[in-house]
Amino acid sequence: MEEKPLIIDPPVGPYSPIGEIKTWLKELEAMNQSDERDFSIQQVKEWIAAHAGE
Amino acid sequence: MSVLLAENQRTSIKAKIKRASQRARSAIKKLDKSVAQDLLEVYAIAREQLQTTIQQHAGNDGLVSLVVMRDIVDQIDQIIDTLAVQRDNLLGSALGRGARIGTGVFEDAIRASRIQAISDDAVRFVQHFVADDGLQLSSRLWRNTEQARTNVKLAVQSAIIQGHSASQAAQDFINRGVSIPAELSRNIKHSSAFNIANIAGRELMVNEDNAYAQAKRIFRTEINRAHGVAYENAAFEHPDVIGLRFLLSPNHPRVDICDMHASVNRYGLGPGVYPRDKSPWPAHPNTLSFQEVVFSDEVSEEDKNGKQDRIAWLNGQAPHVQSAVVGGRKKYAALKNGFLKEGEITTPWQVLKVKYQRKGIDVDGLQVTPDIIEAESGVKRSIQAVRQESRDYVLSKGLNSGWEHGHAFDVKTGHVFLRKTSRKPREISFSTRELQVFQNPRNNLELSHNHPSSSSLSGADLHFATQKGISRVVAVGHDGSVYSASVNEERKVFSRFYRDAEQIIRDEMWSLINKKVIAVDVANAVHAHLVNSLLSTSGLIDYTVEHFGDFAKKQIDRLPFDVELRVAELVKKLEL
Repeated sequence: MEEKPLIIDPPVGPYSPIGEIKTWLKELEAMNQSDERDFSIQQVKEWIAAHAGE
Repeated sequence: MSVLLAENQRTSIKAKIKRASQRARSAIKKLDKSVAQDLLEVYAIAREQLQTTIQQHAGNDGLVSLVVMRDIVDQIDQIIDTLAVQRDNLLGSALGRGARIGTGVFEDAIRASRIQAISDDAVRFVQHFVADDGLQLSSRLWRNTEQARTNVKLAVQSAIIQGHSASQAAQDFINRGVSIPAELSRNIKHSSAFNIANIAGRELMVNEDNAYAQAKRIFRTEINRAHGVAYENAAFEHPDVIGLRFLLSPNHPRVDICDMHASVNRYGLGPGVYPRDKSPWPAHPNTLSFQEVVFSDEVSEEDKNGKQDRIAWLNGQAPHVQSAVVGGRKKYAALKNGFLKEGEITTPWQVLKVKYQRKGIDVDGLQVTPDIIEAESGVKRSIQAVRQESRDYVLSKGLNSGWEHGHAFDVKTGHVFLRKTSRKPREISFSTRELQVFQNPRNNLELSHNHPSSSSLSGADLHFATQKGISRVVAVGHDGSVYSASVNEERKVFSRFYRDAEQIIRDEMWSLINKKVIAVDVANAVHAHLVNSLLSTSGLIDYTVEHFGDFAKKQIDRLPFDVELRVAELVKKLEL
């Protein structure tokens, strides 16, 4: 039976190089769907957008 | 029929009191936080005034000379005097509010005039209460003021004098046509207005055992005391109240004497229940424990027959609980060897030592023989023991494997629900059945997991903690850090505010990174801690750093600001 990732801890932070953040986003997108995965994806997209604004 | 109606009404009022008691516990926590925020502002204003005064006395070279020292010291006195008045006014009002939260629980059961009188009496009691150190509240506040005054003045005077001596020595070098040694130049800079202003601020609010931290402790202790005394006195006005139950806070961080008070059935009224004037609450300053009303019909036959003294209770506990409750190796040994009596549990060892020596007991030879049978006999473990096992488990497994490991147990029953890893370093996945257990509101699960990065709880961790069956989520860093939190909002509301809080912190940190005030690695390491501190200050989560490990502490120390103060300033941006 498919298990859902509910505990997720990022290996990068919002101030990491944008390439590393994008790699983490790809890892998240490859995970099984769960509310916590979706929450993390949205968070990481905000990190990327903030990077663009800096 | 009328008897039945009266009985129904009585039952309904008792149920209302129980519900109101729970609300009152939340209300007093909120009051504690809100007053702490006001107190912080009072101290922050005083700090700013100190720093402005010092900087205004700087010469053209940016240094503070000996000539203006007297003037600065006089102004420090005035600022500290004003601070003390504002602090006392704030506490006076908070004591009244705390007491009214306690009596408000019984507003349907007691006359309004009695409610007001009980609240007023509770505040007077707190004002005149003499603690174990022999001090009344007014003396304790006076001591707090004088400590602030003395520490700030001494630190400022010392910096000015050191700078003055260094300047004089430098002048000698100049007169002799010799260049000034680098160390002397550094000492001169020590008396720069910027540096002295910084020293004054740290003395007041940052350095170990600073006056602000002490005031915060006094506030929490006394507001809670006013609340508890008012609650207790109002409770016993109800004819069906038989006692008060000593409740541990859900955040109770480690085993201590409160565990005994909350568990021993000393009076045959049930575990942790005490008749009027017999409650040991509050067991210590800064307590996180509460009391809850117990009605006579709640006391069972089992409770009545299960009366035990505290030594009997202690003897039934695991060794680590015994040791933590009595406090200290020697007292633990005295318990294990049958010397410690019930009235001596809270007596300091130094006092007991003399007493035992008079009785001819060899105190130097007191030691504990390892009790293997007890350790392996399946003695019922305390919740604290299970909690410790949970944290130890995820840390040791994580360190060995490099993966994330989870451990969950029920904080009411101690039942271990799962030990799990998905053999991945950044995630733990759960089956549908496991998720259903986390969603079941009847469960009270504490979920621990390891963080190889040693950073605080992530947004996803907290998001998961909104599940109804989770009471607390815990992250154990590989450097030994322990962060824990519970979420006070449902997940949609939480998600929105989490994003807002994260953006506030991100904006702040990006600004510091761009100004090269802070390094990227530090910003990443402390990011989650700052977001969680902001959410906690705003009341959206209850967040506790139970321990900072070496790595985390080093990162926090590298920040250019005091986290608590900065977060208190930023919380105004979070629109709730």
